[in-house]
Amino acid sequence: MDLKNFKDKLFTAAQAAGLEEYELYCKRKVAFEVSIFEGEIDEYKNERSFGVCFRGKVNGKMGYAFSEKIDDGVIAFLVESVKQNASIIEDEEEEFIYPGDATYPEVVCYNPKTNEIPTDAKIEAAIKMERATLDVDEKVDNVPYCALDNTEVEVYIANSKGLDVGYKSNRICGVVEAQVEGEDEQVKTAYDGYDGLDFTKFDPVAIGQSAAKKALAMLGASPVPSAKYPVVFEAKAASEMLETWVGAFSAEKAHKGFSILAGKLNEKIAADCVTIIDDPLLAGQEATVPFDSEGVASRTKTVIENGTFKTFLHNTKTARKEGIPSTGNGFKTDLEMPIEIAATNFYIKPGTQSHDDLIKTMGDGIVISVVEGLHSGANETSGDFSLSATGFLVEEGKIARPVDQITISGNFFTMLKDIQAVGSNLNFKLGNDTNNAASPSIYIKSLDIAGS
Amino acid sequence: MLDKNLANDVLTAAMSTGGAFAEIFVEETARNVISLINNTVEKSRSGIDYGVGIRIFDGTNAVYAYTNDTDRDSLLAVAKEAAKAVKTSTPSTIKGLSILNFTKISPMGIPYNTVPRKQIVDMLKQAGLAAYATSKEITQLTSMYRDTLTNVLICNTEGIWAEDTRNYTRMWIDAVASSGDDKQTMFKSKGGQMGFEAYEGHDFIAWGREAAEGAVKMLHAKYAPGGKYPVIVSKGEGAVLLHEACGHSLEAEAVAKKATEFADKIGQKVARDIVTVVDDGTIPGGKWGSINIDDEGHLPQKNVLVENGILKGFLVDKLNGLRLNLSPTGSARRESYRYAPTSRMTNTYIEGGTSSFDEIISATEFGLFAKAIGGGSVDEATGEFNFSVDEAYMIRNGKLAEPVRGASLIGKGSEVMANIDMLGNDFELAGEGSCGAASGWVPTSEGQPTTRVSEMTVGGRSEE
Repeated sequence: MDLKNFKDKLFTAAQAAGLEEYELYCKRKVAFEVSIFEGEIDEYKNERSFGVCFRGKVNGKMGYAFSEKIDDGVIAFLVESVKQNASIIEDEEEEFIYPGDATYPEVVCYNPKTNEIPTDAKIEAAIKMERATLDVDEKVDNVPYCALDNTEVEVYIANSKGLDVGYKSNRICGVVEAQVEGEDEQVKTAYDGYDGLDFTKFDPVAIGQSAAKKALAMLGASPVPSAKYPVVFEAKAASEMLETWVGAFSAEKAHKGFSILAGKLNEKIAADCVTIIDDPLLAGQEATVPFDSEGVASRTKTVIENGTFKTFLHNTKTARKEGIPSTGNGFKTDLEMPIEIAATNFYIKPGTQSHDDLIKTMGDGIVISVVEGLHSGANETSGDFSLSATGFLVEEGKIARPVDQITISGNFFTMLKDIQAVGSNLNFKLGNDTNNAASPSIYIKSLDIAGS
Repeated sequence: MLDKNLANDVLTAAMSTGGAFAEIFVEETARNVISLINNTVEKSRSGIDYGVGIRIFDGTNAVYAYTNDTDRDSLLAVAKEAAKAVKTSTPSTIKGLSILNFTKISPMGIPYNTVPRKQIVDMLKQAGLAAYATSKEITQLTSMYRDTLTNVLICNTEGIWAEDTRNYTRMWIDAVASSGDDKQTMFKSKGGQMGFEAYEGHDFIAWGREAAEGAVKMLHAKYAPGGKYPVIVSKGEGAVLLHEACGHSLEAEAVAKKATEFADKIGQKVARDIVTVVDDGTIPGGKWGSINIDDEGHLPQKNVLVENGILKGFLVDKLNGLRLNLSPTGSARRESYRYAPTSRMTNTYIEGGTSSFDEIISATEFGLFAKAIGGGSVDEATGEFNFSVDEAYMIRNGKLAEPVRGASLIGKGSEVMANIDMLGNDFELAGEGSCGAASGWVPTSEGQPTTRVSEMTVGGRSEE
């Protein structure tokens, strides 16, 4: 498909239909995935996709349309749908088409070598990963999930203000889930994985062994009595907690009354040891991009500095409302989605203590390694949460035994203030292409735990 | 949706390296989404998903490829590339394609594109105004409308040619009540697998008011105490419990990998005599989880999974059926052409019992009544599951007592199923669920009478 030709025809039609300003966003994706079960290829998957999203303004209001069907009727469909959708918008705040920036940063988000990995090498690595998991111990009796995927994405944005930019990114990701069975038919599972730009850095044996060891460490787990406990969140669990509340830092949510951080700029909203950065320029991370979905150049920003709230995340609409430049966080989380606000690589700056140091400092408490139910047991607006969890009981600074069938409850914003220390083990693994939240292990003063 | 000759050529190309079976899935979905924040229309979008998925069985494994480019050369190239991955050669023939006739059990009275967007907005706004009018403590509101109209074609080397249309429409509101930084929300949904007539007779004012009342009630509620005690789960949507505790664990995808606690338990007692669990895709009249035809071209079935406490069967798709030597049960589903189908739920329910609601409450000295349920998740291998409760009440001395907020319920599926000890006579099949698993998100519904579980872990909090 001749993209430039398509764009020209679309823009001509848009102009003729009276759209005041408009923008085309295209996304192409090529992906390969192989999953292994019992030494054999269980599923082998090839993906090729291409779709377009079009937005346009009529009477100052923005409408959206999208299509994966690129046929003779698509241009008329896109233009007409945009007009129809624009006609019901009531939001007084105007959404803008951005002319682009003079320069864009160089970012590391694409590795041409990743496209050259032979398919057989990928399959072999996945098989090795499964084998390594099983080989750790005879109690590892199953590997329900073992997959490797390799994706390449290309984005192109062009608009009536002259913006004409694109970028390519790619990634390789391997994940394995180990299943173990201990005494009394107790079954435990755990997973580990690699995701990044460099296949040579993917060590399938190490990943498999790690998943198996994590699962084995949970055998014999049982609940703890219900009470308040000091807690150390392992890095991955802390990352998932942070990701759940990234939305609170959205200027849009604040403007509309959905963020309790509204009006709290320059206030202390977290403990002194907490600094949070949003950085789209980090080399090789999943949300690393040269510009956001509006074409605003990427830049690093400090969101919380030593506990003080420094900035919301903005797109051009919310930034214009406050008379400041966009922070470059105007993103579509999927091809068909409108421009909203999302974080990029959003992380808690690591401290100096290792995970083991944090446990020693805590003395007596609970380590949380896995949290479940974040999509339902967490209130994004209030910060309240009540989640299923597993982890370890810590006594006198040492792991005493594994713990399961407990819930942890509390409030995320209270928790930010109750962080006693931040570990040095920042973990970015297995994230997302937007709202890629990451954290080291964190030690919290206390949370409610319900168990036996 | 696809020329028959081209379909034959694609299937032939797919089978050219010895595949045992090949299938083409063509999908075109038209979708509209309108979203309101604080009763003001913020965003509106419309669009088309379109693509073709080609699946080849390589012995009892599968190769899957998909593309949006459906011209002849592209499809043949995709089929040939996929065929290259086939390792096992199985002698098989390609049967002639013949049209499969089947009943469309969900109606489409008023087509979505005949309803002006402004009319839809007015309905949601009516509910929003009612929510705001209910209490000054309602500070924010999110509401949304969404419809999807999907046409699919399923054809395969066993001669099936099935064309189906699926249509879903749904609205929801989420009311936020605030007092300082303390916020509570209540979510309400309405929709159907039918045309816009799904909303006929729906009282939008009462709907908005109920969302607001629920949020306000929870704002003034204390936290549920954490611990292990009896839980009575409401009829209807309370069956998210069943869905997470048991439903996913009975999908053949997990059974074939021995990654479910129920894998070896056919014929065994997994619950008390009073418990019968069914997954039924044939329920007519626009039920959210029903299907006309599954995504492999099998007719839906009423599948009795647990009968009087005995585990009878699993939900089986074609591929996992081959692995387990079980017949497919009309349960193969996928979110879109981007996924290979696998065994999934449709309308999953516990059959009604004989106790009255009052009998169940009065038989419980101390416990939790979970009235409105959020979502949940499960690890089938361990059976450990969770779901969140949006609105609940303590039960003290056999009576409903104070409202409580913020609880998640957790447990191990097999234990919870075995601990269901009372079932009401008030069976209800509830609304518009979205179930996520290996083959993506599919619409499902859940049902049950008022159900008591003798013991579950409740994730409450102590007061600050």
